[in-house]
Amino acid sequence: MRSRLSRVFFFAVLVSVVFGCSVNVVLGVSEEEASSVLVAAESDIVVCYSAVAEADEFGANVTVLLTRLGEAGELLSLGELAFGDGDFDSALVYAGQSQGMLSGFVDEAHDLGELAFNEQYWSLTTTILGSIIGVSAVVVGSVVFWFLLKRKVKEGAGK
Amino acid sequence: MSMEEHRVLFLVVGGVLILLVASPVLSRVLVLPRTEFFSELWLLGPSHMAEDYPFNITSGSEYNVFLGIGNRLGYTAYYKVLVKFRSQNQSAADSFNRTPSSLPALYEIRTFVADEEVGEIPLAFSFNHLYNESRLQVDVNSLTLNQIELENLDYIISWDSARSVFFGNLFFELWIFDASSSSFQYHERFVDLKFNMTSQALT
Repeated sequence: MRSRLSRVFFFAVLVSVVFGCSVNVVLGVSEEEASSVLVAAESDIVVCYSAVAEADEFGANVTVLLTRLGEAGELLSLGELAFGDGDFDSALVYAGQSQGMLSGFVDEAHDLGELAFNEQYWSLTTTILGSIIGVSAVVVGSVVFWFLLKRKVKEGAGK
Repeated sequence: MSMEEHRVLFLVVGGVLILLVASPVLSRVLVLPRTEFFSELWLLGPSHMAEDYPFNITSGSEYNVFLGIGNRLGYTAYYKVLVKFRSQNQSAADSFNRTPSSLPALYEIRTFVADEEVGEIPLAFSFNHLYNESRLQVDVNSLTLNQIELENLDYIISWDSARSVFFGNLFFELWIFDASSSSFQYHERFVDLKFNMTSQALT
């Protein structure tokens, strides 16, 4: 019975400690802390924007990435609004959510850009090669046709 | 037909054939360079047309408009739309001098638009305002924009005899992220909605 009670007591203490820690994480955020996380979130957005702009330059379809970036931007705006209202806890939460939304974003943008670059490269190469072969065929065919025609006209004149 | 005439016809037909075969490459190479780079900003009414803009504003009623941004800059742009509200005596954005209003933004909308694309932001807003009969003024307490409550506005709007309204002006300034300075610059564009904030109070 005693050991059961001590187990319950131990469990209650454990729950209190864990709950207490998590509350500390979420609540009681200082202005400086919230401000620095907001600045970091803004910086993340700028980095992701640069990556997606580069992918767009290579001709990648960046619609999905831009939508995600817009959603992260919206969360950051909410964070800044909360910060302006003095609600640093919410500011921190929103900024954290914004950063979380962009995890792996730069790699995805780079992959998409690389894929688009390769597609563009092969498409251009195929087009150039196709045109060179086509133009060569037209030139060779024309020359052959011209000489055949010339010979035929000469033969006709000889008869 | 002489051989000389055949040659001319042959050269013309050959030239046209060569142009046809080379057209896929030529279409990629011979592209006229873009000379004008700009952004567009517009506001449409609730039916997606440039009409029926809200004017007589009732406290607590929701109004819908659509804010559009067109990107013709040649690159993906990072825009910030600053939402501001002012009464008749407060600083307005100036389209002649191309300067923004000095008022602080109530809210910032961040948006990203790819080159040659258009971004549309649906805006649903409502005001919470009261007509103060003794002082003949309207007290604007809060603005709700897309379900985000912007409280403690504390705007006092007095009677505008020139317009014969209690004049309120909700406007949207376009700012753009400049990579070289790593900061937002005013993009010299704004759109606005002019209101009469009295429709419920005076009737």
